[in-house]
Amino acid sequence: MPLRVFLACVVLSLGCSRCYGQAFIEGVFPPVVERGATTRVELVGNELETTHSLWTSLPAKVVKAARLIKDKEGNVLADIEVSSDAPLGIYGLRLATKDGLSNVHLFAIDDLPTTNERELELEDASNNRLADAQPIELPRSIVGVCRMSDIDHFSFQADKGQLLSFEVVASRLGKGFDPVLTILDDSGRYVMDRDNDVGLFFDSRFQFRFKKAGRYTIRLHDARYQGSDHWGYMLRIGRFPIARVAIPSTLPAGNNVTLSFPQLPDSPTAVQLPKTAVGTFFFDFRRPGDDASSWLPLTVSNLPNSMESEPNDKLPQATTTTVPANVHGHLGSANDWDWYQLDLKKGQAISLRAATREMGSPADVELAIYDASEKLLKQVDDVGFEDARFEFSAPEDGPYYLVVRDVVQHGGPAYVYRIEIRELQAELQLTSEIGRMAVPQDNWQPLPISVKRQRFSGPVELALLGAPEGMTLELGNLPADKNTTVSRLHVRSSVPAGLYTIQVTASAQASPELTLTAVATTHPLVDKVPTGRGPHGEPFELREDQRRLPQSLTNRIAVLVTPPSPYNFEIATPEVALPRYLSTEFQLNVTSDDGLQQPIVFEARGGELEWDNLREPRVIATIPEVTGSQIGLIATLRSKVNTATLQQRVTVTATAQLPDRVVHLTRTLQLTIQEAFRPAGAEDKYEAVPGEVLTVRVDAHRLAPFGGEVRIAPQQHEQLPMPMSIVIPEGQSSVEIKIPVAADIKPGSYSLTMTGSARVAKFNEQAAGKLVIEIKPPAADKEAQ
Amino acid sequence: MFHRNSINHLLLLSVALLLAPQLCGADRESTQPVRLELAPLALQLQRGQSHRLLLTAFYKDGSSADWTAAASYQTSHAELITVNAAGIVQAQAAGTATVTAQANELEATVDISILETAFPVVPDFDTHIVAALSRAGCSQGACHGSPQGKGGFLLSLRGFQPPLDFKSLAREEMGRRLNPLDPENSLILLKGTSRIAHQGGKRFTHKDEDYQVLHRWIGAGHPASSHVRTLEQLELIPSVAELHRSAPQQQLLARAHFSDGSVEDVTGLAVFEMADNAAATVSDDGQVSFSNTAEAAVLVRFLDRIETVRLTYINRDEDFKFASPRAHNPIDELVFARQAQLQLKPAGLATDEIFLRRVYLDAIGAIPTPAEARAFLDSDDPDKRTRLISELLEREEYARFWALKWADVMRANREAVSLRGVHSFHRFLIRIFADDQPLDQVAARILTSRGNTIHYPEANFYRIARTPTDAAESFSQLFLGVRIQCAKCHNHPYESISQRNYYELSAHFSRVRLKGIRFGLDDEVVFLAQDGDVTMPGTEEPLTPAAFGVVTATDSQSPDRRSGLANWLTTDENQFFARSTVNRIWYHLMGQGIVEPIDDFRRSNPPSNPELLDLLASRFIEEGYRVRPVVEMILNSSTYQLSSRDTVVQGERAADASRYFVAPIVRLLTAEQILDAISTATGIPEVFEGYPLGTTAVGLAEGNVNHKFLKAFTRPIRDVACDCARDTDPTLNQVIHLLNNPSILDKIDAPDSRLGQWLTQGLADSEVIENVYLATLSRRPTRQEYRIAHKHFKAVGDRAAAMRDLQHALLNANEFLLRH
Repeated sequence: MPLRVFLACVVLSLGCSRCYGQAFIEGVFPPVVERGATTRVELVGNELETTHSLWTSLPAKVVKAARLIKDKEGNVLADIEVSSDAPLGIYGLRLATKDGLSNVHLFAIDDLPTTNERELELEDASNNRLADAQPIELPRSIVGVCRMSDIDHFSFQADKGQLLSFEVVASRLGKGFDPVLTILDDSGRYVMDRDNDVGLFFDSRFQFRFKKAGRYTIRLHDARYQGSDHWGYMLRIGRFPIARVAIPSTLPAGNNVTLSFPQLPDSPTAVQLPKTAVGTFFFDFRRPGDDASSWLPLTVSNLPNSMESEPNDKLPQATTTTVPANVHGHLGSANDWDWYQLDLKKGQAISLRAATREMGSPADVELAIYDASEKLLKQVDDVGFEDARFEFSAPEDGPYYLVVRDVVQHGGPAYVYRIEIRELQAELQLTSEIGRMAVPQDNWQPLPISVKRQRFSGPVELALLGAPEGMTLELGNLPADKNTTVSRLHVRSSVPAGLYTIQVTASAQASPELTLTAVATTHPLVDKVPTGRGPHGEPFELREDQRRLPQSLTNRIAVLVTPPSPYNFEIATPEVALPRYLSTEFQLNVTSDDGLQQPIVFEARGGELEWDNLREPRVIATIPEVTGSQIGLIATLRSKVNTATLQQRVTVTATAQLPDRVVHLTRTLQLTIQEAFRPAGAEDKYEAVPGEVLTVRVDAHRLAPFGGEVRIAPQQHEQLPMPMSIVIPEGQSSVEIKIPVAADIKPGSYSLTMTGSARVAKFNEQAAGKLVIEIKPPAADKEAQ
Repeated sequence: MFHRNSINHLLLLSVALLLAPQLCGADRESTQPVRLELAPLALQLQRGQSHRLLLTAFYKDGSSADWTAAASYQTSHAELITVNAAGIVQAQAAGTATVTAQANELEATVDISILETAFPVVPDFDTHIVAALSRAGCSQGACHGSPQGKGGFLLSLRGFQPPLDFKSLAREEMGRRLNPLDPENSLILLKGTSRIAHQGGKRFTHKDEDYQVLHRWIGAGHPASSHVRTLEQLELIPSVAELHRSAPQQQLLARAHFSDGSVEDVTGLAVFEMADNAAATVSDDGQVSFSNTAEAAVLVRFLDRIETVRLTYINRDEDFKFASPRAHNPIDELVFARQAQLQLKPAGLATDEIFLRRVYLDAIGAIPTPAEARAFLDSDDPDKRTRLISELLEREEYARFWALKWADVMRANREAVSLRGVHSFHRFLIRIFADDQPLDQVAARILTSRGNTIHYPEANFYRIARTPTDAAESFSQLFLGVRIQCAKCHNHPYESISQRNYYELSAHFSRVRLKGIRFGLDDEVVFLAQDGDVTMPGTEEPLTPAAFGVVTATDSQSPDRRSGLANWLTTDENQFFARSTVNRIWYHLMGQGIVEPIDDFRRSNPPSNPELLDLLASRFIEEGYRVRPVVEMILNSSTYQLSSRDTVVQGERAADASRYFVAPIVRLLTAEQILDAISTATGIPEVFEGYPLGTTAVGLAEGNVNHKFLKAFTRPIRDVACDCARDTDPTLNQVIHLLNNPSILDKIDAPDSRLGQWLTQGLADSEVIENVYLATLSRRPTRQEYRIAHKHFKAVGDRAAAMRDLQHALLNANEFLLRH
């Protein structure tokens, strides 16, 4: 699925909060909880009054809400308990209300003691001015908020020669905050500043050695002085490793491994990976004597590691590597070129994928393949928003050389990279448009799933992972010719109400020997508006910090099972055709418990029923609200001007406001918007022989309710002469015309375009269809044959 | 060339020369020259070739007079060479002869050798006819040199494309413009002499050399050039001269040195133009005439070369006695020497009050607080001015203020580099000035920048100047003070900058590429492609990177061609970087550049005081290209500290004083300075949307801030690379803002304003009046001002209202609004 379409779907699902739950979290404070402790966190937002539980992207045994309290403003106070073995890093949370699940927010788990920014707790305790800096004791994690035009100052004591590490976690929490840190001395003079460290989005992590003992102040503000009441941050100060990259960055699960951290002088370090580690996870790293840990991303992989061997700046020095492998290298200085030798057989096809940003590296690598004569065969920089990747097929047996370089010729300790090299084979990717849903017991909700097949074309089977018994996926499998499906997540009445975390997996038999599996990824958004402006003015362009959410969040779906719904509905006509500029109807069947008094209201969204930044909806849905059961409820879809003629999925959400909760049910229909007519032959194909006068019937193929006159300009063919203009009058579906087939016409199939025009509503509409005439050989020829 | 030692030597020599008139005034009175000299000093001619001689009388004081027309001439061999009364020699036969000029009992000689080869009778199209058309004005932009030509006749602008001109003149319209059988009646000559209607008027007469050259060429069958010869040097005699008081006129001699070794007198085919100067003119024939004391720069153009002659004439005022404040540093010595030479009187030294306000505004862009003003004015320290300057230059406001000046011309606006880019670039600039980073390194860092603009704000330079030509233009204007834009389409009309120079400079940036949006936001990545060239328009020849003829590519393998350019910045071949930078600094402190406009360095726009410019450049280089020492030196000079209150009347025979820094230039404060000054005076900071409270207008990162007051006072939106975006003329809108802007009135009326606090503290009227004056005008009131204020208090009755009236009035006073 193209990225923008996917993003639009994502934004749609976010904007359509009523579809899956009304609660919306604006901010979380503090956005960090302490490992091995209970931290009270305030969650501010809308529609949180009926909150009853907290979902996180970590297992409940690691992080759980010991208590949830609703305050007077309708916000939620959660006492979040974090086990002492919880992994550090950034994770996602949602609130579950009686109505559904909230949007996701990010929070951090840290091992430093925290102190809140004083001005949040006390009035008249502003720390906006240097003179009003809030004193802090080290080591410390300061938790604060950056409001519009806000500047925060914190003062601390440093000894002569003391080496302190600093880290700000702000941008990584998924907001638009771009923090800048400045250290000032006791007279307010500038000492140093830090803006961004690539790999940490717009955050930074660094260390600084103080030349003089004294009182220092650290100043923090947004790079543009923007802010929000919900832009929380965590400022960590103390002694902790500043490493944000490791070599290697992929590891076999559960083993003792030795990692080197190029940013640290005392690297390498032997570490024990958590046995539970899967996929990409945060590895927390702490040296003896450190006050706290740092976390950095590592990936569990079954590919063998291949390490760069310096010097390999030239072809003769190339490091030999195998296929497949994860190649780990380091651009240690500016303009460093790393050469690797790959011995390939003729026709051997491999795929290469660079990874830098996802592992916290600032390198912006370009990959190139040379042959043994140093002839450049292929060169690739970024692919879309991702690092370089490409496929290569060896033209001959022999050595080939992979060259990795930084495209801007920078280098340094953090400039590590990983190149995943694999034999080219079939691949399967799976995407879920939504990352949360609320399903009443004994009911179902739609779950749109997309697959991307590469180098195979077979069917894909979907399955649920982690789902309780009674929670099933129906209509889940995708035949070979389909890439998308709206599955149904069905919850039986036996499934207890509560929170669940599920994963959707897919499997496909790419070949008799190769079975592919994949886990569906989601892309939940933190903010309502993902970004101010995309590069080309797109409203839905994602910020980097929201594009790269923690994998613990993006490969799972939060499901809230609620008590049974007192009503249900189905769309009786799940496929609807809408003539452009006109209206059409579709039918809903609503059933409800006898006791249901509240009205059921409907809302249809999706496709051209949506507002976008450029224009208002071009299709308007009107669905009357109902009270009680109603079979055959008629809904209307009306097309306005400039509607696109294409298929689009429309979600219809029914909402009933019960005394104690709101129940939403969502169903989908496939809407096809097309022209109100499409002139063509009444039959698919007419047959004639040369010299014959063929009688054909040209049909307007009108789509109700259109019944107006259609004027047709047939495509002219010398040997199949037709009138220049054909008129199908109002109220008449077709007209008959005669075509004197030329005697010398060659046998074969002739497809002639019938371009029609008509006044539809108040618009001039045009549409074209085909008249197909099959010219048979003359009878004599037939006999001859 | 600005090698450190050579500059020092040059300076010493210059100072000695300039001071010479003061030291030997008696000799100056001499009317008798000490020697005569014929120029050129040696001459080689071809048979049939003629050439002008210039006879110059030199006086003991170093001045000179043009005696060409006053002398008598003899030749040693009349059969070889003849000479007329005007000093024009004509070679008759091969051999060697001597021409002697005699005047006033002095004589001078020149040896002339005549070659056997005859001077071609038929003029050469590329070098003679093109020059003749240019001199006649036919090929100027307003006539046939316009892109569309005129009347169907198209010539290349100033003859920069001779093949095109030949085609137009000799081939188009079936050759009707030329009549080789009757050259006199060729259309080009009929129109040029206005014998038939010509919209361009009369361009020459039968006697003019351009007419005669054209006539001869047409009569010879108007051939195309038979061989390629290029102009290698345009020699001007004299190139620099100080004219004796008895001789306000000087004939100029232009000699062309061609690539085939020939040298010709092209005075009759060259174009002479005078830079704007009320006291001097130049005739079409190269005769310069002074009507009063002045320095004059004469622009001489022949083919694609442009050279400048600098002449000085002193209309001696016997009563003039130069008096200046004590010279505090070498700046003063050079400025005062120049003033003395030109019979100009400088103002006296400014009072402490004036100095205090001025130095605050010029160094940090703000006025002093009442406490700061009081401390300075009450100090008895004889070195308090120097101390104050040092203190101000260490303040963070200094960095912010000077970053603003650079930000104004770097074009970093929200549209070009996004709001994030504007802020990060602003922080980058502030650190440069706060740390006093060497500007050569900063320039090199910007020039060779690569990477994501989020992490490398200097790379925003390439987001703003996105194409090689745009980058070359920006580089040249910002770092060299040279405008090269004209040369994009044709050779520079006022400077020896060719179209080739333009594209060779652009070639440094030919491999710079941008890739957008690596972070899904507003960033771009600047990187270098492995290849890519800039080609010469027309020929499509790939060009080797060069800076005004100096090849800079040191490593042909390196994709980064810019590093050679960065290295060139500080080499001896670079005549611009240091000088344009110090000129910019001088302009910001003095209100006028030594070269003006400050980004228009060219030979035809010479500095008003070249020695001063060299001194500052030398200082800048010695101090490792750091700005602060130069600023400090200027601020400490008496020249900077002259009084704006003195009324200095210059003598009738004095030069035009406007370029020689005889008194401070009084000018309206900038939008930011006025707004910040109001905030300082009232004690109430201005609130800027999107910025923390306490941010000053000078400290705003963005140019296009939505603030009515700043817009009214024309804060630049930073979309042009010159310091020309600020209107200096006051407008009614500005007056209304100062009188009625609710924000300003609210500041005055605010209970927690300075005034409100003084009233709350119960200070006496006189104390409050003094404080208001110190806060607003940085000085204490005079007795009369006290009296007027007291009188107003009595009349109003409401003490607080009267005090607010007083401050409101002072905020609208010229003394507050002007830098003086």
